[in-house]
Amino acid sequence: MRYFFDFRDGDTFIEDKIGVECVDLAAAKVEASAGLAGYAKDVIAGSERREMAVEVRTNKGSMLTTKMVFDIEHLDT
Amino acid sequence: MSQSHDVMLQRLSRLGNLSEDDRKAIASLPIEQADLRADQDVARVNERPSRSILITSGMAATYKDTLDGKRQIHSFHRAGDMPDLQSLHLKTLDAALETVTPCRVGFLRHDHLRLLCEKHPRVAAALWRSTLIDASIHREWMTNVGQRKAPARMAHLFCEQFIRSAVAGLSEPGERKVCAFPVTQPMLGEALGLSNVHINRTLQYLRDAALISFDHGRLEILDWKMLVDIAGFDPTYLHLDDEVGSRYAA
Repeated sequence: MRYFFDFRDGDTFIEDKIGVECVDLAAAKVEASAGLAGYAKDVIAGSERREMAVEVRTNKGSMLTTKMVFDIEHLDT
Repeated sequence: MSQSHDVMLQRLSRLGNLSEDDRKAIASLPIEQADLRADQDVARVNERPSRSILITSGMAATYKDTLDGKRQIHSFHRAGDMPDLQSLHLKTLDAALETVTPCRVGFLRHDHLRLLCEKHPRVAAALWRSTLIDASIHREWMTNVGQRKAPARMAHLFCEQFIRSAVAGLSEPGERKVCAFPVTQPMLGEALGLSNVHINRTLQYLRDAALISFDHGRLEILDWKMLVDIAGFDPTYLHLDDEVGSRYAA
């Protein structure tokens, strides 16, 4: 089945118009997490706070969302 | 003279100043032509080939697989490329070659190539230059996959593929920058070291910025200057001759 993986990064939304063939939802989950991790690796350095998500859907509708939150906590010393 | 002779002559003429005698020797080199299907393994790791391959038409890729089944594509090859030419001097192949599209290839027997090189040092130098440029492209790809972020990495690949097509006379004629780049989305991932999902996102980003269009294996570069800027693309590593190179300089 073709799964689509839309990206959210803060207020930015990038729709997946291509999709990826996955054998099942478990495979789609792996694709989503690999995609999110790869993207995060590129953009996190230099950020203070960042909320990123990959939303997975098929032609039947939304299936799941994977999320990643990056936050720097400044500690008073 | 076959199509393979024609393609080889064009390529070696771009790589060195050949004399009429050199050109005649290339034209009379025995080349066995074959037409291959897409997705066919042409050469495998650890093989000890007695001949090298000239891509005469179509596209092929060199790659290596890891123990856990991941694949890294090292380069895409088009007409005129000799992707396993190093096997002329290194006995054992250290990378595999597969066809991406149906390909016509020419098989160049090593004993014939050796004889050609002994009698025609300018041809030998051109062949040497060809493998040196392949190595330079691999260094650039290592830099690309290891250090550039996804949009720059993909932009860089697109710049390179367009120039290599154009130089080989394979891009569409006219003002627009259009060439065939018939790779699947997973292959793009294997070339760029990015997941399928990250590939989609990055493609969408470059499309939304109106830098490229990429559909059904057809690449059009809509804004060359911006794409070059994003990629940090410098064509020096392709070692084009000065006149051609200046056309694509940043």
